[in-house]
Formats: sequence, structure tokens, C-alpha cells
Amino acid sequence: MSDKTVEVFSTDFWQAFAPELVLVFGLVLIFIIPNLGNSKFRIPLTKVKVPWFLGGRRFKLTGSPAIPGMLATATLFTALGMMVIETIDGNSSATTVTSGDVVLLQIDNFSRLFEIIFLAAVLLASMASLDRVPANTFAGKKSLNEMYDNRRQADFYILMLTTALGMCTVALAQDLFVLFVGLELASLATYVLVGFHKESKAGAESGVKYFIVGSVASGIGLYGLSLLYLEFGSLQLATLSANWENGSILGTIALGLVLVGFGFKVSAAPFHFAAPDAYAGANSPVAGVLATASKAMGMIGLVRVLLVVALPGSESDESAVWLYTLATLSVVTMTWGNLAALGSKNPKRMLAYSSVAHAGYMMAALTAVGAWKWGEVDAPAEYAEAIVAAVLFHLFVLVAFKLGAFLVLALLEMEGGASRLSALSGLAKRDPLIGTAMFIFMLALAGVPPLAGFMSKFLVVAGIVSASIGELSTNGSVSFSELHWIWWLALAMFINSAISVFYYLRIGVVMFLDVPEEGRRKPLPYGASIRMAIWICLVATIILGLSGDTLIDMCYRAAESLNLG
Amino acid sequence: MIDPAWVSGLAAILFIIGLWGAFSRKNAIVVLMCIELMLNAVNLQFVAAASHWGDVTGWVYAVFAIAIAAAEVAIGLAIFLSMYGQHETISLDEVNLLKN
Repeated sequence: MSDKTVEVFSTDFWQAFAPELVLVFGLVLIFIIPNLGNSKFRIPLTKVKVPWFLGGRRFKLTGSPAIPGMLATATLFTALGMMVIETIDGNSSATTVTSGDVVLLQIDNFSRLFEIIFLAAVLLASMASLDRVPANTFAGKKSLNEMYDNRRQADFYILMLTTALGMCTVALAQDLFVLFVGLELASLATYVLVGFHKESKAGAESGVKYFIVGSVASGIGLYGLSLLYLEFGSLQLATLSANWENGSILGTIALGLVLVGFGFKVSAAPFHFAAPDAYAGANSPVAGVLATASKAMGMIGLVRVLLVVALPGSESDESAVWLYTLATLSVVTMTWGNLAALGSKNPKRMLAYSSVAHAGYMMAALTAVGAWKWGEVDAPAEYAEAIVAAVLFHLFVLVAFKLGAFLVLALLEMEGGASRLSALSGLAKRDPLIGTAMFIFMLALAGVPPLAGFMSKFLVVAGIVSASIGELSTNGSVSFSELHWIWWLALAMFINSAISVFYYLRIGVVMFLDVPEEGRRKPLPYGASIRMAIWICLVATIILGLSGDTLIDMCYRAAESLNLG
Repeated sequence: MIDPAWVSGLAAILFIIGLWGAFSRKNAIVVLMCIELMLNAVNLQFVAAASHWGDVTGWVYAVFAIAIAAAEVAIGLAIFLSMYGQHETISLDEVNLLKN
């Protein structure tokens, strides 16, 4: 490991940020290429005309509606490939970007792993959108071709890439304000993506709901940041964590307000109401990105604020209040999500509630790390790192099976909507391959071995349990009363996983046993690239469950670079 | 010069008014205005804190927050316009198609 510090906009800076630069470059290309045409620019006061290739009659080759999607997919693929090559061998060094004595961004294993999660999710979603129209043909007002040919193709992929870029900023940020600017960049793009179906009532409504709740949450978070700045005079993560102990009650209140902002992003319990509406109205690949990448983005915020800022050296009682709050919220979140999913008749809403439940599991894991940090649990630092690594692994594999499930719904949307459970009926007979894939995704979500979902849940539960046992286990026998109360969180996860099996399997029952509904007897629409995205997800779900060693190592290295100990 | 504490107090009051309005009002435009009020409270707070600490960063934060607020208004109005196009109302309690 050779850590280095580079000044912003220096040569080393550009080198270190090559993958992100690829993203920016791709973004600019999508702006320009569809607008290339034969226009001419007249130099003022003369009659000289010089060719000015923007505007006018568009060239046939570059004006093709398929171009933006291909460009976006290629861009994301290149950036993702660069990051994976950089990170997978494990000797990537930390690069810190400073401007003067202000630390702005940091590239290390932690941020790179999260960037890989974001780019993988957005890449799969944009691949899946390649041959399905992002705009639906509701009420048959327009033909599929008309919708496909419209200029909104470019808008859709510009927004996708902007989301990816904003999320990468969040992963890299070392200053809470930079983190929030990245969060806003990603959120503003997702508000539009959710409301992208402006031809449908549901699309417009979900856009409005998501926008209002999201911007209120981020307004609250931003106010929390300004209070933190008032209290500590800086929003640098390093400064904040160094001065945290000297803070007053104002700091604790400010932290709570900031957590509201991130809590909305992970759709934690009191702030989860907008999520099901947003997922139901957005098109499925976008909903998949919201459920995976956007959630991981909020998780970064929680990890940074709770584990990096608020925890080191804080053994005071005010901090313990947050620990109990977090524990309660995590249990409420997972239970509420699962119970609501049980009662939901809309597969997209069901997946949304299940992602609320998954947020609860991850918050339980964070609570366990918190309990360790506060010195309430007597355990070595590796335990905490193991839990953080388990959370990272969980976030990563969620991209495989949760996004995969949304992509199957996207395939159903191509033939007209997937907002009722009956849309899935008989899927296994109509298309055995897709039906089986969906069933495997459901099993993975429920946590059935040997799939990736089992592995991730197992790691999280094992982490919590071993942290709650801690050093006690070395004495030989452990009595029940000696266990730390975070043990109950693991139990809550078990019970909730058992509840969740019901609604995941219900989808399987509907797919395999029910008769296809009227008008859905024909084979599924083909869609080569969307099917390819589904296969990638399926292979990842199985492979990462059977042999996820490389990925688990990556997660461990990422957790280590957080410097929890 | 005004004591920064007064400015922070004003910011807190503005923020609470904005928050209360965003939860209680039904007209989408008014809700958007309330969100703007919250963001402006943030700006005031940053500026007050900056003069309290004698640190330029706070002013820079305020400028960024203004830019964020502007982008949010642009997107919000566009989304409301598309809602009006479909539902022919901007009243939030009349727009409730999405249910279980």
C-alpha cells in the first residue's frame, strides 16, 4: 500500500479518476452525438458560413434512436471494467484528493467497491433498457416505434449516467458537503427517471410523490449539515470525528437530522412510504436501480456518518441513545417491510417492501458494529470488520438478484404492465427459462442455500451473533444472560426471513401453478439484451453463492480501509 | 453587525415553518415553496456559521446550496407540470391512484 495525496486537477488527479472521467466523457458524447447535423454557422456581419455540426438536419447514422443507449452501455462497461481491474487484485493504494488543506475525495478499496456496485446496477439497467422503450405505450396513444424513435431516448440515458456519476461522488466523498452534493446529483436525476412515464397517470403521480418526499428528506439532511457546521466549524469527516467528543447536544440533534436524509435513501422505517409508490410507477429497470444502487448510496451515508464520524471514542450516554434508536428502527423496518409485502398484490410493490426489509437487516448489522464501537461488546476489531464486510457483500449480491427480479418484471412490462400479481401467472409455462430465473431470484431473496442471498444473510447473522458473543466464547461455555442484547437483532432477522419466505414463494406458486390470464397466452416478447442482463444476474446469483471468495476478500479489504479499529 | 446567533435563530424558525408547511399543505406548488423555505434556512445557517467561525467555506457551501435549490425547483416544476398534464390538478390529496 502506497498512499498518496494529490492536489485537485493535477496530472495525478486525472490519472486516478480515469474511470469517472470516462463517465463524464460518455455523458458529453450522449449530449452531442444525437444532435449532430448539417447546420452551418454564419459569422456575424459577413456572409461566410462555416460548417457547425450541431443542429440542423440530423445525420441518419448518428441520429438513430439506438445510439444513446449503446453509448451509455459502452461507457458504463468501460468504467466498470477499469474499476474492477484496478480493485480485484487487491493492491490498489489509497489516493486522497485535497484542495489546500481540505480533503475532498478519497479513492480506496471501500469507495471503489461501492462504485463497482453502482456502475454494475446502472449498467445492467441500461442494458435492459436497450430494446425496451423507456416510455410506455399506455392507452395505445402512440405506437411502439413512435415512442422508440423519440428524442427522449437520449434524455433517459443522460439521466442514467448522471445518477451513476452522482453515486460515485457519494462513494468518494471525504467531506460531508461533497457527499451531499453527490447525493443531490443522483437524487435529482432519479426523481426525473421515476417520473419518466409522463404519459401515464401512475408515472406522473409516482414522480411527484418521490420528488416531494425526497426533497423534504434532503432538505432536512442539509439543515442537519448546516447545524453540524455551526457546531464544529468544518464538515470534513476527519475533523468531525476528531472533535466529536467535544460536541454538545446540538451535534447529536444535527446527526439525527442528517440521518433522516440518508434514512430516506435506504428507505428505513419512518421514511419508507414513498418507496413503494415510486417503484410501482417507475419502469422496472429504474425501480431496480432505486432498490439496489440508490440503497447502497444511502448506506454509504449511514456508514460514514455513524461509523466514521459519530463513533470513535464516544462512550457517552448521548451516543448510546443513537444505538438504541438504530436498533429499534432496524427491527421496525424489517418487520414493517415484510408484513406490508405479505399483503401486497402488486409484484413491484412487493419487491419494494422486501427492499425495505433488507434495509432493516443492514441497519441491524450497523447497530452491531455500533455496539462494538461503543465498547459495550468485548470483541476484537476483526468482528466489526466482518460485519461491515457482510453488509458490503449483501449490497453487492442484491444487485444480482433484486435487479434480476425487476428485470424479469421489465420483460413482462414490454407486453403491457406488471402491476398485478396475476401478470406473472403461468410464466413458467409460457417461458420456462425466464420463469426458472425468476424463481431462483425469489429463492435468493428469501435466503435459500446455496444461492448468493443465503450467503449474504448468513454472513450478516453470523457477524451479529459472533459480535454478541464476543470474547465470552473463549471461556468455554456461554450463558444466555451474558449475551449482549444485539443478539435479539439476529433473532429478529431469523423470524423476518421466515415471514418473507411466504411472499417470495407465493410468486413461485403463481408462476408455476396458475393459468396465464386472458391476453397473456402468447410467448413473452423476445428482447435480446434484456434477456442477456437477466442471465448475467442469474449467473452472478448462483456463482457468488457457491464461490464468492474473491468478492468476500474484496469486501474485507474495503471494510479494512474504513479503519474502524 | 448582527450576532450570528440571531441569524441562526431566524434560520431555525424558517426551517420549522417550511417543514410544517411541507407536511400540512396540499397544493404542490405551496409544498415546493415550503421546501425552498427549508433550503433557504440552510443557506442562512451556513452564512451565520461562516461568520461565527470566520471561515470562508461556509459561504461556499451556501452558494452550492443555492445551486442545488435552483436545480430542485426546475425539476420539481417540470414534474408537477407532467402531473397536471395527466391528472389536471396539482392538489396532492386528489392524486392517489397508487395503492396496494
